[in-house]
Amino acid sequence: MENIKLEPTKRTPGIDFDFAAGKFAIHGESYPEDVNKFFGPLIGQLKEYLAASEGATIDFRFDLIYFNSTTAKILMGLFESLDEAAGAGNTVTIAWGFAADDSNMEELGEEFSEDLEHAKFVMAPKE
Amino acid sequence: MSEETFRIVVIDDSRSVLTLLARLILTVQGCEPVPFSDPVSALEWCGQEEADLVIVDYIMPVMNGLGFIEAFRRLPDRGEIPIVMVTGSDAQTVRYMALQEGATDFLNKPIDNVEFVTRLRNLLVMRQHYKETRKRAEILRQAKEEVDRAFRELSVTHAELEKTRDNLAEAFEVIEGSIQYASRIQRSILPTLDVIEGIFSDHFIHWDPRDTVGGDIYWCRPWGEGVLFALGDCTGHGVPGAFMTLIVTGAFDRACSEVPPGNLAQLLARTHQLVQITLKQDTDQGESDDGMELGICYLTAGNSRMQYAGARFSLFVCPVEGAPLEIKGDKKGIGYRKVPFAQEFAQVDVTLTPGMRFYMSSDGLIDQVGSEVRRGFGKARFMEMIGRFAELPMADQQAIIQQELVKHQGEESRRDDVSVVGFRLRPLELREATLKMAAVEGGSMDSQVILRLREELMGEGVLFFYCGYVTEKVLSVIGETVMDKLELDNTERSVARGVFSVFVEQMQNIIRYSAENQEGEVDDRTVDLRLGMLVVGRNETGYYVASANAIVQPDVDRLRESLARIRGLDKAGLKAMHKEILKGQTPEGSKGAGVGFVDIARLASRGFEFDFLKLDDSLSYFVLKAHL
Repeated sequence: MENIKLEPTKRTPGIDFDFAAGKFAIHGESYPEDVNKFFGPLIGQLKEYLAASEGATIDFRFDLIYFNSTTAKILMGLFESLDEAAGAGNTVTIAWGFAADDSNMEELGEEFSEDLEHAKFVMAPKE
Repeated sequence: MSEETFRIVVIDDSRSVLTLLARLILTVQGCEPVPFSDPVSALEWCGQEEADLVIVDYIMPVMNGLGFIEAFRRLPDRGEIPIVMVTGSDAQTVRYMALQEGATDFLNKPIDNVEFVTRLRNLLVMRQHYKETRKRAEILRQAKEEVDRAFRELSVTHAELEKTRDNLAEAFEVIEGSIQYASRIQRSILPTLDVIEGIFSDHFIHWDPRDTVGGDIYWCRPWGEGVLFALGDCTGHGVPGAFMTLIVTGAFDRACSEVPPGNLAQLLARTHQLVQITLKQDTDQGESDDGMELGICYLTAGNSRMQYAGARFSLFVCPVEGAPLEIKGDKKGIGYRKVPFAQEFAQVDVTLTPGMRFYMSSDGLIDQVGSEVRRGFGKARFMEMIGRFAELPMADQQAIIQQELVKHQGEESRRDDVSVVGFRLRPLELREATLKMAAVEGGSMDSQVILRLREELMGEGVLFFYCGYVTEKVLSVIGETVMDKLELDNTERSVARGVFSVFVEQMQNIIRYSAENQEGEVDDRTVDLRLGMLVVGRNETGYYVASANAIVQPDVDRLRESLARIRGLDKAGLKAMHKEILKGQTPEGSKGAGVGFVDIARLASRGFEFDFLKLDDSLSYFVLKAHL
């Protein structure tokens, strides 16, 4: 599967998906004009990859500064997919990066992680 | 006994007795006998000389002792002189008669030397007391006379004083009337309110001459493209000060017409020269060494630029935030002999920020000596005071300054004229632009609407206002603008993030749900443009983001219910609802309170409010205001 690398823009986050290495990163701000148009293909490929993985080590890192409520819905779906993959025998680690003084972003991370049953979750505050 | 001699008159027709008595008298210290054998001669002498004691025989030819005593007592001022009559010891009847006539004592014949000398001494002691008492009485009488005379003189002086007082009252009335008249003239050269109100949005002018008229003066007049506002403090107060204000006003007016508008430094220099010429200070003649301290503000480009020039006069500048600054003028005054005729002055550009306040003051306030605090009011105190005035209307500021001065002054007399001015600038360009617009449109446009709108927006602390169609592109552009404003405002980062998040949710709400739309072209495609309104503002407690858009009537009740439910939830409840929606299958775009509203509720740390205003039968205007 071909790697995906997108530079961040004002309204869309930077994407760094390295399927072979099992390393994934999303960073920056996210309030796309059309959330489905931006995230749809990305989530599609990721789900395909996760479905095909067995016993793989998958690291997913979020470093978001801001995202809107429609992005939040996408992220929640993403967390659910990753937890399913972990339940299917993969070693999944999710790291949630946020500015140490940004309590809102910290709370959202906690909220997303609350229902995880299989994946490992790491809070990663940054000074 | 004192050293003065007592003269003792002895009268007896017997020579031998006379000689005997005289000899006895001489044995007593300080006594001198004055013998007479003839009572008539004795009486004559006694009328002219004052005897201290008279010793008279009873039986004598021509006039006996009783006759002598009677005659003697009739002499003026002879009532107090003791008289001793010499009689036979058995002549009791004669003695009663003698007492009636005024005899003081008696001596028996034949004379007993020891008795005579003893009696003589006793009588003379009495005489001595009498004479001393009389002397004291005399002194008292003289003193009384002095007092009487002084009192008479005082009465005269009092009358003169009353007359003087009446004269003074009359003179005062004349002068007072004259000064009142002078005051009318002086006040008539002061600028009228409408000129001042044209350039200031808010101001006060505290012009308080100590003696009805005074040496303080202020001017406000157009000059070229701009407006001059000046405060001056001439030497002297009262009538001389008022004379000076007329002279400097003339000089200033002429300088305004001579100097090309814009060159403030030259305006000050020329005013100085004209004052010197008028008072002949440029020559060796002329008696006046008077002048003025002056501060001038020059406002141009619709009040967006200000220049200041001062002659021993300061402008105090108060930014909305931070301590007041003092812009000191040049150290030379206007006029005065010692200032060179070609004296130059400097002008400075004042950096303006919105809401800035400006103050000028003559030294009457700063230098006023206090009764409790024995020193001047002080510049530091004045600056500290105006620094605290940020939110106050100018009229209130004036009242406080006046109160503080009265309190400080206490029992002390006013030293000088007091003038203090304070003002905020009115942004003229807007008013002028709208007036021009009105002129171009033939007056059909109500330009006042813009002023009212501006007032409303400023009153609500609006940082950003938008009304029109909302697209994702509009959201991007406005979002950037709002963030820029928050950054300029030095907003805390977490607060700014919250405001921005709420802003995005509200704008996207308009994009998705506004029931008011129009067709438009975006990127060569015909799209459905949704209309809405957005306000970002700041009030005392924090920021607010408000949005408004039309919704169809059937949605009103459901939306009202959803929002009421969201508002009733606590933090945990909101979080639970948020997750429920995120995990749920409710597709975005469906009607109802979506995740956006829950987001807004979570971000609005100070709560949110909403309302529905009926537009017509099919539409209501939905207003949502979140406080952060």
